[in-house]
Amino acid sequence: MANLTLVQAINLALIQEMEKDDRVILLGEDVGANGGVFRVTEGLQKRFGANRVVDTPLAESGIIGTSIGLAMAGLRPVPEIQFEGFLGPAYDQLCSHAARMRTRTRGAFTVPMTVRVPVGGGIHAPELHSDSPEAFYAHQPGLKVVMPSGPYDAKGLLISALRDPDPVIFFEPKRIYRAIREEVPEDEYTIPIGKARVVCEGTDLTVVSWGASVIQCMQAIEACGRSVELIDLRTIYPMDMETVEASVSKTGRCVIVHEAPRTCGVGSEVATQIMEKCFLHLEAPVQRVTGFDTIMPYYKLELEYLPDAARIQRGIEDCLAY
Amino acid sequence: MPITNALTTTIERVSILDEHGNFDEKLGKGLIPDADLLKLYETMVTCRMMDEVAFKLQRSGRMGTYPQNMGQEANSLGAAYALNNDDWLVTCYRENCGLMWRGVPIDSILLHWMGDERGNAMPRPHHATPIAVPIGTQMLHATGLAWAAKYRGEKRISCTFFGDGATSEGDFHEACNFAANLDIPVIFFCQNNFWAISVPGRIQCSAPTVAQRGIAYGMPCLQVDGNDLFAVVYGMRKAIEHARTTGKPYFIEGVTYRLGDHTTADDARRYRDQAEVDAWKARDPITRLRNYMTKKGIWSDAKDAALREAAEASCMATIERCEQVEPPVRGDVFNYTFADLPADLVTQRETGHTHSLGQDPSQLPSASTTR
Amino acid sequence: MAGLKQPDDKSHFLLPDLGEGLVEAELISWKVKPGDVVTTSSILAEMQTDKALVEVPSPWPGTVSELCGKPGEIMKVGKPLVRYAVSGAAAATPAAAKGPACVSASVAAGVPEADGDQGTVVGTMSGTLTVSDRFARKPEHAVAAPTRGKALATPAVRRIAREMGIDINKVAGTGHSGRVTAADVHGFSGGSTAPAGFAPRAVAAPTPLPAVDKDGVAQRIAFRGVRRKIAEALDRSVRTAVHFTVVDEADVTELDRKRREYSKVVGQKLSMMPFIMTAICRALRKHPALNANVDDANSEILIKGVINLSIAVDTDSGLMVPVVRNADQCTLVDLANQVKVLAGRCRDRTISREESMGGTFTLSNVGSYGGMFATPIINYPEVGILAAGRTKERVLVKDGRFYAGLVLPLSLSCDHRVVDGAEGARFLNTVVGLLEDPSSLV
Repeated sequence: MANLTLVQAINLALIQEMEKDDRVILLGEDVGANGGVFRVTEGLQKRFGANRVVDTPLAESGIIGTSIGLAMAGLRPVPEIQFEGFLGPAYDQLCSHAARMRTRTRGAFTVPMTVRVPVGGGIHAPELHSDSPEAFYAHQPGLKVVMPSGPYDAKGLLISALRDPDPVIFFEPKRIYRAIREEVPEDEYTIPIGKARVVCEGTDLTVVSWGASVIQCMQAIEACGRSVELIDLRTIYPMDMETVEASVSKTGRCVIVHEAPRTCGVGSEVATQIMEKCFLHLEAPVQRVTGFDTIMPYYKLELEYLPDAARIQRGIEDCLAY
Repeated sequence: MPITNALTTTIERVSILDEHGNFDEKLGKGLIPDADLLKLYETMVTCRMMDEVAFKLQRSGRMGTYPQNMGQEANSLGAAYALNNDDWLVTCYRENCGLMWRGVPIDSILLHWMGDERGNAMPRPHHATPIAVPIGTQMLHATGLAWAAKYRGEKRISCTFFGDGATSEGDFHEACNFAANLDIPVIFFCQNNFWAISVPGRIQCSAPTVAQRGIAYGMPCLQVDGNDLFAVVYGMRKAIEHARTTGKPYFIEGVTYRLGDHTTADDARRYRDQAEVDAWKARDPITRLRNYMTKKGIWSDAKDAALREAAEASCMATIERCEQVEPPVRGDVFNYTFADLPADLVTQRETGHTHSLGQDPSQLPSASTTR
Repeated sequence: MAGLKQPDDKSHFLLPDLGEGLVEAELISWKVKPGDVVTTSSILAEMQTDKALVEVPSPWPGTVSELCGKPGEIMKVGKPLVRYAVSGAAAATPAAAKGPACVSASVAAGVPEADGDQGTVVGTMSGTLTVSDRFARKPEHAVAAPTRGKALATPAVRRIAREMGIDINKVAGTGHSGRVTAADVHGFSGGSTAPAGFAPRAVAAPTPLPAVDKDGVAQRIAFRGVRRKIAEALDRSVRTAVHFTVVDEADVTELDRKRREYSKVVGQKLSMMPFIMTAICRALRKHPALNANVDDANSEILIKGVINLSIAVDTDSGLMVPVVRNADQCTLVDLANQVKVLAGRCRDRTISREESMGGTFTLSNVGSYGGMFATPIINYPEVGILAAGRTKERVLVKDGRFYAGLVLPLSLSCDHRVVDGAEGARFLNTVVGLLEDPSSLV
């Protein structure tokens, strides 16, 4: 067992699945010779060849559109969109075709594709390299949206995504690409898509989060010194509300944390379902600690924007004090 | 130093059987055996008849919006005839004739326009993709499909169809670029029918030909008279050979004309001259072929009348069949969203409600089983 | 071990992976002590892994300043094993090292990976985070079933409980699926449950009771028992019935003369009471709307055919209200005697509950203690109460002539939900009329 970073865990998952299943092809900008701008696909072209790890022209719609064609033909393409900010041009292919092909053809054509996208802020990057657009895709029926918070979950979830018969957008929180290490088994294991994880148990309040924010939540929970239960959603859609419901029914209070802006963020969906499912158990209004409803600032101000441990802790304490 | 030519090129145009009945023996001899010609003609007539029947159906409220293929039959038919049956046909929506030749049941096509997704559940052996509504997006799929075939070492290629309007979309450019740069065997077949709803072709492409678009990608390009079945077959055979032997893409423009409206929801008289339409009627591919076959002695007016009658009968039978199809079940809206339905979707399907109290009536004090 | 970077300043030595993929080892014994000077061939400690007993050498020469564990302790890979004295500084705890419980986002020695490739073309990746053991991965299992002891209640009901200063978790829930209802909360505060189905006006919830100053207290009386019960009944009446009061005066000069005459005739001293009671009974026959009970639980007004007069009796425990049944069928003497008997029973607490039930109207003779007008409180669920004040001699005017007369002040309170103002005034007028014309009374 090795202590791996997120980058290493994803790299390992890709290697293992590509060795097992020759339908898996990687494609995207700079994924081949350069090993990806974050080195996530490092060494893969050398190992599997240029016809399985393909450097494509600079065209996001093209990357996703051809991947849809590859998938319709029965391969398992893994396109990479270099940064979440560049998903825009690919939105049409994702929502007009990838999400719809199965239902449009009543199953005659399907799109078993996994789109890998680095996501989120905190790396001092230029504009459009720090956003969190998971809500746009969670809102499109026919797409699955996944976001691990660490290396162990990333490997297990990615393998599940690669084997999923439907399109999965696999968001990789770039802030923690190298920042944490976890023990990651070399042996094959999967984590089911659609299952949240209780990171630590508690009795007084539930924190629900995903991605890099989970680490901030851990810091905040340690600092506030109360009995707080932390849930890492891991999958945005389909969301595991069963775990969240059981937790908030027990604690009666909830704080949801995400980097994406507040209005119409995934937190609103979680909060509404908590209201529906835990109505009689709630002792305080569900709180959301999120990015502000502004454009993500350039990096000098990005830490002011992102929900940090201090702001999360305040959210927890206010919710407990209600 | 003297300025040199970085590139000099020409775009060839092929015409074998023109609207006046002149037939180029050198290019056309033996191109299409008579037996095939009769079957091809039959398919064109059936396709045209289908258009007329569907139009009437729409006007009488029995079908939703329907785009007629009138005048453009030769393009897709010639292509489908030239291709192998397991080459991918990636169409937009004016290629019914080619799909019919491939063996795709007309029922499938009609069910789509009648608002039933089951029309798209075409069996895989036909290697035809469903009708693509967002303009220009299907060409990337064609590229991916051909790429997969190449990856597997198959000899299969893709042929994708699109109009002059689609060449304005970004995805057209991206698909050509991918295919050309990554060496993917795709035939890009542009049905230049001069109109994108009400917008004339010169606004989509100000160059003298659409075919020359391909030059930018280093593809070989060819323009054919799209209303001349022989020219289309000739051009396609060149394209197919190139794609199959080099594994690289080819660009072909079939010049034709959209004799009908864009769809049954459109009225072309608002934006184009009848004179123009009449001029193109004289170039109708079906008329042209009928005259050729009649002159050649393999067809007759009597045979034509009989064919039309039979075609009408079979089209009406098709309509009847389609209208008898049992309505789709509500569950299908859910069941094909994913291979495995998430619990939340199962609940929505089973209860028919989205509001939480409707999904779980036990939360209500006076729970009633019939609501 | 791949990735474990020792600090550049060599201030401390992080325990490396001693085997393949080890995370921890047991410290068996130290081979050095603080102050020892060591070289790379010095052994720092003996450690037991799950594979072997291992000697751990010092990674570099230096002076040991602190040992970071005790024999028998389980040491974690990646955590400090030994601290060294950093040159030029005293052997103080380096600031960079933090306790294991914290998740720190500090830059890991500020040095990028050996090949200088940060692994990103934009931005910078820095920092290493360690995850506290509290968040260490455990085998996944179903979330524990929620512990009970917490009430189910809608947010609206929780607000009521909060405003009333009640811990909602102590209130038994009678609502659907065991939820605590607003009625449950209100009922909990009064000690008696609200009638089933009764929805009290939640708007009038009082604020939590203020603390009372204990200074200057001369006597502490327990506010319990009968007094408490009476207080609660009064409270309920005021909160439920909407009180309005009409006042008037009756010229009882003539009636008083009659009274004295009558007393002589029956051989018993009669007070004004039986006369007033008779007047009330007559007036109630004329204005039956005031001879009623209100049934709030069923939203009904019960106009009574019988007239049972409740008589307010003052006791040392407070006000009691026994009932004279069928008062309209009693003679004056009957009425006087019954009142006397019932009052006696109240004062010596032999009055039964039945004797206080079934009243349809109340008479309160406050005049015997003093006072003119009053704002009597309805004996809920009745809808009217008449308070008779102290009769007084006054100069009166009749047809322009002055005379000395006797005036009886009367205060009528009615439940405005059931009795209109006009109706109440008319009733009082009738009573006054009867009292001023004694020949119609007897």
